[in-house]
Amino acid sequence: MSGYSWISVISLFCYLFLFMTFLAVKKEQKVIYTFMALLVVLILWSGGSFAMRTQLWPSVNFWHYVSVCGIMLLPVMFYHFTLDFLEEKRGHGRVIWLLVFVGMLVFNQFTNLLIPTPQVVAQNGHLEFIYEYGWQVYIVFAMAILCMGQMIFLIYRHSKGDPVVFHQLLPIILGVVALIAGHALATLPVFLGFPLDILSGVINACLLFYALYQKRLFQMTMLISRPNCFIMALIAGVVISYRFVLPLQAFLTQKVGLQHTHAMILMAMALMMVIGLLYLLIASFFNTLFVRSGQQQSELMAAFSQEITRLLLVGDILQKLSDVIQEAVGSQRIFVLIRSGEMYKIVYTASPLEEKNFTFSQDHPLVTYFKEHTGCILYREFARTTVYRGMWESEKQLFAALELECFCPLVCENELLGLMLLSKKKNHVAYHVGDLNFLQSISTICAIALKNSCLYEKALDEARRDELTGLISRKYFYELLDQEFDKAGNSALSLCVLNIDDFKLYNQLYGTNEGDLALKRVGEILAASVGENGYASRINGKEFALILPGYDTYSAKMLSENIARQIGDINSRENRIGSRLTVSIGICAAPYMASNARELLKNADAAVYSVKRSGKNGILMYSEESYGQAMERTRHQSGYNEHASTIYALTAAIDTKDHYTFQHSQNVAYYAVELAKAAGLDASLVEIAKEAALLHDIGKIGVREDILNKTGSLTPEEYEIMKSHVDNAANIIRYLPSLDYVIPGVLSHHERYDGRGYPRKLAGEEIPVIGRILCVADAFDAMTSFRAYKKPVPVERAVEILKEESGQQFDPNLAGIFIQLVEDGKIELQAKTAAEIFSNNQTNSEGVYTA
Amino acid sequence: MRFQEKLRKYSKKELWDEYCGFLTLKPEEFMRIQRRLLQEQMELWSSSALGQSILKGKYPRTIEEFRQIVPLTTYDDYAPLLLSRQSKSLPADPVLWIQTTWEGGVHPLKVAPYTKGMLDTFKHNVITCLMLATSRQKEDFDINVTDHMLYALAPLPYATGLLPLLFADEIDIEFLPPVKEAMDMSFKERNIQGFKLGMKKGIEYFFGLGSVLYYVSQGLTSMQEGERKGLLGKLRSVSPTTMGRYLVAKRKCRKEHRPLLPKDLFQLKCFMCAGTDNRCYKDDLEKLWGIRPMEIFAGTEPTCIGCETWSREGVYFFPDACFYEFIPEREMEKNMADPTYQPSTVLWDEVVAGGVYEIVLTVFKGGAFARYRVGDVFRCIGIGSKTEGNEIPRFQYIDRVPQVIDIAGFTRITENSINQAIKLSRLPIENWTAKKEFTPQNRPYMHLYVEMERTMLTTSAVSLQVLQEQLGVYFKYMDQDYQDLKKILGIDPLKITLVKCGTFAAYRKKFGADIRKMNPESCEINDLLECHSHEGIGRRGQIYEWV
Repeated sequence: MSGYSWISVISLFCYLFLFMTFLAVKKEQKVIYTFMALLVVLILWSGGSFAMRTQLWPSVNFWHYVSVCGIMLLPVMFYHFTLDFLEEKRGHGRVIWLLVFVGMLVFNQFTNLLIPTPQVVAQNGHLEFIYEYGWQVYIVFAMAILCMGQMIFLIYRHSKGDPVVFHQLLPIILGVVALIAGHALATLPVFLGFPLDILSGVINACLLFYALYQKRLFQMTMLISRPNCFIMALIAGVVISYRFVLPLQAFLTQKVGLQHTHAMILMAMALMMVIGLLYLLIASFFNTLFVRSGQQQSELMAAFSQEITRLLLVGDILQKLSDVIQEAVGSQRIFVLIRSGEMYKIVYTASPLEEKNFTFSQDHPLVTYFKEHTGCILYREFARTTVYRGMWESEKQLFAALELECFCPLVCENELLGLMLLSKKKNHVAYHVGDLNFLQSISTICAIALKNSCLYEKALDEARRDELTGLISRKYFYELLDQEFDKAGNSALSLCVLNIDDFKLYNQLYGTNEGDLALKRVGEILAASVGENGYASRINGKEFALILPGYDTYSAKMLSENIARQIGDINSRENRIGSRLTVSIGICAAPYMASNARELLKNADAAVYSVKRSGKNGILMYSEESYGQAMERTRHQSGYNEHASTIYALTAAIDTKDHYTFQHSQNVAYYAVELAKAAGLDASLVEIAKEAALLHDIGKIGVREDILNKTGSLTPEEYEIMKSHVDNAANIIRYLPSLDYVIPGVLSHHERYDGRGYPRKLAGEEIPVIGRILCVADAFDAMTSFRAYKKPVPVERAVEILKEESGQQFDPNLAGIFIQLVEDGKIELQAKTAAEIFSNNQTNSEGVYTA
Repeated sequence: MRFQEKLRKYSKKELWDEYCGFLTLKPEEFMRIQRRLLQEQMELWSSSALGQSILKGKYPRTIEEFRQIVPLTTYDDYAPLLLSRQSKSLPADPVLWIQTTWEGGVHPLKVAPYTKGMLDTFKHNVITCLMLATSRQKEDFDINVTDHMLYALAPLPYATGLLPLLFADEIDIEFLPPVKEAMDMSFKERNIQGFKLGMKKGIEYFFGLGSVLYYVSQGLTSMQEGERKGLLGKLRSVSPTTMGRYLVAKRKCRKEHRPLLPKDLFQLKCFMCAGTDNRCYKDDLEKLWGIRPMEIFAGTEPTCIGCETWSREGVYFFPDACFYEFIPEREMEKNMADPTYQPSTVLWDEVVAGGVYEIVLTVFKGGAFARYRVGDVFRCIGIGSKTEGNEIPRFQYIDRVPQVIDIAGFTRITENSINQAIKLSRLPIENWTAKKEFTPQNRPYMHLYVEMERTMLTTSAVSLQVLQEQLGVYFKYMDQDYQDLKKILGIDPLKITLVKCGTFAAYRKKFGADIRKMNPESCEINDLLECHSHEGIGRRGQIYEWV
């Protein structure tokens, strides 16, 4: 090998090294392929030159042609590389230049005129390769310069007035200059024999490599794989030993006196040690320069990927994510927002003291950006996007206050699950590409885990929540009560049990949909009132409970009063007729009044029961006395009998105003009972029909006497007042807690089957059956009785009217049954003459009075 | 990061995307930004004392509610709080107050508060204008730190004076003359000094009102003519490059037998004009400078809200300066006929190509004005452009609303101001109507059609010259800008035509209504003149009394 052959060797190894590296690079852009093709050309050139100078088999000429092939194709490949680097879509003579240079190559092959085969001359024991160029070589130069000129023109056009692009393209321009200069200088006599052209090729390749690196078309860490480090160490070892092997051998054999074999073994060992040492040095150098942070990040990411699969809860996953990011990247503050409905809400901050009162809506510019872009972005880059122009000033101030620098999307299956906001790094160094790549990878891994855990938590939550109100379900309530009781120890824990009053009636009056809405509203009030300080649960259809850790009896009472007031406000908003939404609340607090969770619940229940028995719509703290009273009251008979005397008194009171009402109620009760029985209603409904009939006109107590006893027709205003007796009746009966079940019947006895009645204009089957029965019975008695304003109608005529109004005023089915009863004589006419009425009333009144 | 640093750090494409990316927004994306920023502004404005002075206790929650609840406003609605500069009453703290003349208002000046957010947006949009003004195609602009700008606009506290400060915040381009020095100079001095420096250093950007640009350009041409005598002396202060360019240009002009024009000496990269009547000057300016001026739209109340692009095919509005609503022409007419009528508006994405609209603005970022009738009329000249590769509407500035006569962007004359001038002049004018018209050279002027009081004709001097001079004097007295119009541009913006006594009455009789005082249609003017030329008109008894 001649003195300058090492330059060929180095260049060859250099190209091979780059080529091997780029084999592993992701070839997303065409320019990577072109660069590899350029490397192949350079390998042909350097390899041919090296093989020729070392006179390898088959011949000097063969390797010369290989080398020439590389040289000739170099400008055209370089041209292709530049066009691809510039992302030029037009051809710009790619094919023409290819034909020109291939043509020259073929021409040279046959004529040996352009680049002649060198003469091999032995000088001082060394072989020299002397090229004797003719003028024809300048044709090659001219073509190469033309090709390079066009390249530089294209580069100029692309970078004109754009310093950034010019900076990107500068290495390529310098590469061109190096190549031309190298080849031009190589023809000068002073450099005769020195492969300056090959050296310029190496410089050019390095510059192109730098251009690609600068454009971020590959990662530097690709270079520093173990095999690459070893190859570098090997090359360096060979070059070093090539220079020192002969002097060292001479020294060992001649000066030290070792045998040739021993000297060879020693030298081989020394070479191995040098290569090994070089490998360690190179690996350590690259590790310090590039790999350490990357390696650490890779290890952390691998560990994170493994650990995250074992985590189920969102909070745990985000905690892990935060730890990893803080360790690998060093972000000072981390905020994670997760999508919840239409908003992205803060679910995690690295420090618990961070600002948590902000949410992003779907139209937030950052959300909009991440719906279209999947990569992490630095704030300063985000601020340069068009969507950023929609940011509010307050949001910009918030971002500035939080010192945010980097944003990462949490995307899984094209769905933006959440966002991660990172503040500046602890070491105040800016985020670099490596950090962004790491964050991108870890966000992707995390997003998948998050999606699963969100689904899990959702399922868990659904299982623990009441579907209608969103409050804690009964089952979970018991679990929580036990947990909280154990947790409370000797500190206060209150339990409030809330029972909505007359809810069955509410449902009957307004329908189950309205009832459900009312439950929802109550649920919302409870959830909002308790907040994070306790738990609200729906433990039964109309029964709710609040577990209030840390609340003593007084605090629980204050809260209960607040809740009762809010529930009462629902009525004023809804303007309900007939039934108001009220709540009975029982409170018990541990450790004052209960020694275990079960007792706590039992006592609170007892307190509610006590409120219910005492007229509802109240709050009661449990005490032994109240419990005793509640127990006592359970022994009372519920229903009509309980209030019979009150009702009797009320009806009698009406009688003083309207002499017909008392008897009328009795008559209607008789007809209603008979009709209910004939219609096949069960005994309890028959009883309700009776009681409702007795009470159906009780509201007349609130109607002026002159209207009640008016002999002529009522004016519209008077009629309106008269109609109010229905609502009045419902309001009176409400205060008889055990009789509230009759309210639907009473409230609807003036509804018409065709929907033209009052007060709620119900129609058909919407009208409670008791109401429909009362309607028939009431009308029949009204027709057949004597009234101040009319004489009684004969029974036959009354039956006819029932028939006529069947399906209009009356339920056709019930009217039919009633007519049948009358016609069959199963119903006795109850109406009395005016004289009888008055004499009866006198007796009853007296009876009442004496009672 | 300043724009200047960005020029070094980012490629042209990246900077284009940042500043001019709005041009390729889809209409829904544009409206998303609009709606979002309005939501912010709505909350700030509604809860401010200023907003509540108009809303009277109401709080709009949605954009639809905002458009229903907030009436269309004029400066009168804001004057009590703004003129006394009550910062605490505003939606956000103002950083500075900008003023302008309030023609026809109860006060000679109008002031408008500028918040930090508004100024940031203004700055961003001004850089966008600069990029688009220097661009010849998409993603290709030409801005250099070493460039020089000749700037022919009023200094602070006028809005135009804000622009050099905004530019200076972003890039170290040199203003000719430097802004600090220019503030103490008269308009003429500024121009002379600016051109002198321009000859020395070169001029790359030129920015001003269309009319002023034209005047200044003419001045330059005449200055070159006048310099023939002392050329050598003048050239001493000129750089060798400019001297070379001057000599080459002179030779070329001599060959072509034409005077030296600014384009022979300067190769402008950017030529921006603002104000009204630009279309009257654009062609001439292009001939003078070899480059067509790019129009930008800005005002004291709304800041900079739009500009043209390299294609010069219409103004595009910026998505983040104001919320745009447009009163369709028919609604404008209804409102003119009945000032109590509240015209309905359409949104930016509801305009139709060819439609004429009065613009209504709600200033974003804590601005004071909501649903504000700034008094400008635009035509939507197209929706989507192949040249610019977008789908959004572009507009052409037409003029001020008909109730205002704006001459060359300098003065705004209203019915009030004409009445005042007549009153002060004590001229026996019985009836009048005013219309903005254009000379054959396409220069704007106000044409006042006047009918004198019959009874005063024999006792008052009412020749055309007297009328012209008297009214001119009082217009100047009332309006500094009117005075400047004459002083700076040398334009006499008033032309008077006397019509016979009884002409207006005849018009009323014939058409059943009075002719509009301000800017009646051309056909209405023709009708009036027809009444004027009718022989029967003007006779009361036997003689033409005013002859």
